[in-house]
Amino acid sequence: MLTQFRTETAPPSRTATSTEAAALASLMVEDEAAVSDAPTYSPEAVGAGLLVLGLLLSPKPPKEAKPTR
Amino acid sequence: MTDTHVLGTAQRLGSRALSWLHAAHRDGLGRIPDNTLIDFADADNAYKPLGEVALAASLVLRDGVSGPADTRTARELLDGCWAQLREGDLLYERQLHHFTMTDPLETYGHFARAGYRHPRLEELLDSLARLRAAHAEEIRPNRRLGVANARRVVGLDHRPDWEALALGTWLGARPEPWAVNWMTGYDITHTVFHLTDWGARPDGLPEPMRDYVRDWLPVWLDVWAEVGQWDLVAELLVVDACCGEPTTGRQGWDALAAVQHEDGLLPRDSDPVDGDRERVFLDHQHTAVVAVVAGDVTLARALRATAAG
Amino acid sequence: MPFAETPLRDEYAAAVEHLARRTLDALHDDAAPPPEAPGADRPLLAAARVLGPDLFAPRLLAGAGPDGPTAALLAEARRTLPPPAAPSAGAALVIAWQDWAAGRLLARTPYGDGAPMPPAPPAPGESGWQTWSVRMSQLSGLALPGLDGPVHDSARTHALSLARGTVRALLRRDQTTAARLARWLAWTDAEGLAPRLEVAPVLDRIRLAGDGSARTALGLAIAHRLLAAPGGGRPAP
Repeated sequence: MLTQFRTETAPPSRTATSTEAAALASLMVEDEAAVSDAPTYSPEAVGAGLLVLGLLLSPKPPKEAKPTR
Repeated sequence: MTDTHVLGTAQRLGSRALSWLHAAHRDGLGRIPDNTLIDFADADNAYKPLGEVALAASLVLRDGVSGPADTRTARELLDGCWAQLREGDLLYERQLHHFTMTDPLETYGHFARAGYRHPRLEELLDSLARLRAAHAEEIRPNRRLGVANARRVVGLDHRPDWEALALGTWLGARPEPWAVNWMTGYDITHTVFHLTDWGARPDGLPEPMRDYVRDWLPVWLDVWAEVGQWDLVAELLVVDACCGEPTTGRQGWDALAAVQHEDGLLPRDSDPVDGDRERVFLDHQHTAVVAVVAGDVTLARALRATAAG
Repeated sequence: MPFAETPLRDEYAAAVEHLARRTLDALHDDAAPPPEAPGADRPLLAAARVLGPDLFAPRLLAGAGPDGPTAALLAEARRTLPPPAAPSAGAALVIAWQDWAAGRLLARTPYGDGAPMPPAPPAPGESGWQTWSVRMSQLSGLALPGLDGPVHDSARTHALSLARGTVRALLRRDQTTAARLARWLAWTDAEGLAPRLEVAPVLDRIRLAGDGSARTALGLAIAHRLLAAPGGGRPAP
């Protein structure tokens, strides 16, 4: 039974330290991903779409394709 | 009522982008080479951008919400572009030889909007429109809308099934809003541009599509502003003004204003702006065009709303 | 939130995965999580602190109340590890609400300690729908049957902001945040309020492209159960 577990088995020196509090807080309140990985230009996604002339106001592909993720 | 802060930003951003384009054209950038064939396969060819500059300038003249200096600038840009197209002869010859191609019509539409006419081209377009072949070309559905709108602007006799055309697009399918990517983002913006004729006919966007755009536009704008896709952000701001009362607020405008250079250049994305002047012009002219259109349609919409009380 | 990738955090994170996996297994078996071996160590207590109300998810979703052994573990965790100091006022509010939720569930057991109700989180109109939705993702542990309060009212009232936050997270390819917001969407659905975004395809997308952690899998499983609840699962308009 869980009611039997003995917390005194935890080392007594490990009271809630600031390191522990920080670890706990960071797990309890996880922030969103700091860096967005939103879709940008990729040759695969664009295909031949932009090579067709006349699509006015369509974007010009960047000169160098960025690494795709 | 659109936020006056937004309107002030839209006006400044668009006006400065227009000046930047004008200065570049005045100094000979963006020219179609004389006496040589246009290499249409070259991503840097001047033909497509010329039509885009004409689009922006024609909207400035159509909407009449700019000051006299910008109006004059727009007229000069159109005059210059029309001259480069040899008063439309270049479009005529291209359409005559490649008679199922749609880009001469789409380009011509922007000049026709501003009163530049080429009767022989119109006769040719009218004749071609009666061919089944003209409607059989397998083009992307949002471009089909572009062609239909160009015919409408030029005044050619045609009765497209707008609803069927709209439903054939990505936006018409109203897909899961998280499935959009960079390219389909542009598909969405173009569908809105053509259905509303660049904001002049907001009711041209079927209501379910308008509701869908208004629900998700703030998300798309936020996501692409965060990664600095300024060109697409500017197109999304055009969309916002084409669909009625804008929904995205200041976020996009403030972000664009913050990255616009002193001379009016608006970077297309967050990569460094480098290279010589011509390279910089080639890379960023499209974004300048979008900025002019965004400023124009945003002001025009606000003015129409005010006039309507 | 910036935090040092300390060995201690890694140790606790591993314990969270362990306990989430056990809870997930229990959810699939419609049972309470099996009792831990005697002598709950500190990482396990930390994990219980982190998962909080979710430890009772298998029971609550089966229509039962919190079970004694799990309540004992959670109560012990709360006694041994007081609410950690948060790096920001927003994070402190999240922790306070998580504590409130755990307290509400423990109040139905002999281990009740009655945490006070924190102030309501700012509405999207105050903080922007982006910030609001990230906050709601951090509070996704509250999206359980048997819990209700101002946070839940906020989810009911701001259905579009919830949907926008989910789409934003998916487009940023932040599947973890997306999974947590999708759980709220499923919760509103179970409440009989049609979400502004189809939930099932989102859950499926995250299942295939998500972070693969047991913690996220547990959230997804809870969302699936909420969708399948009576009144849940209707298509979005």
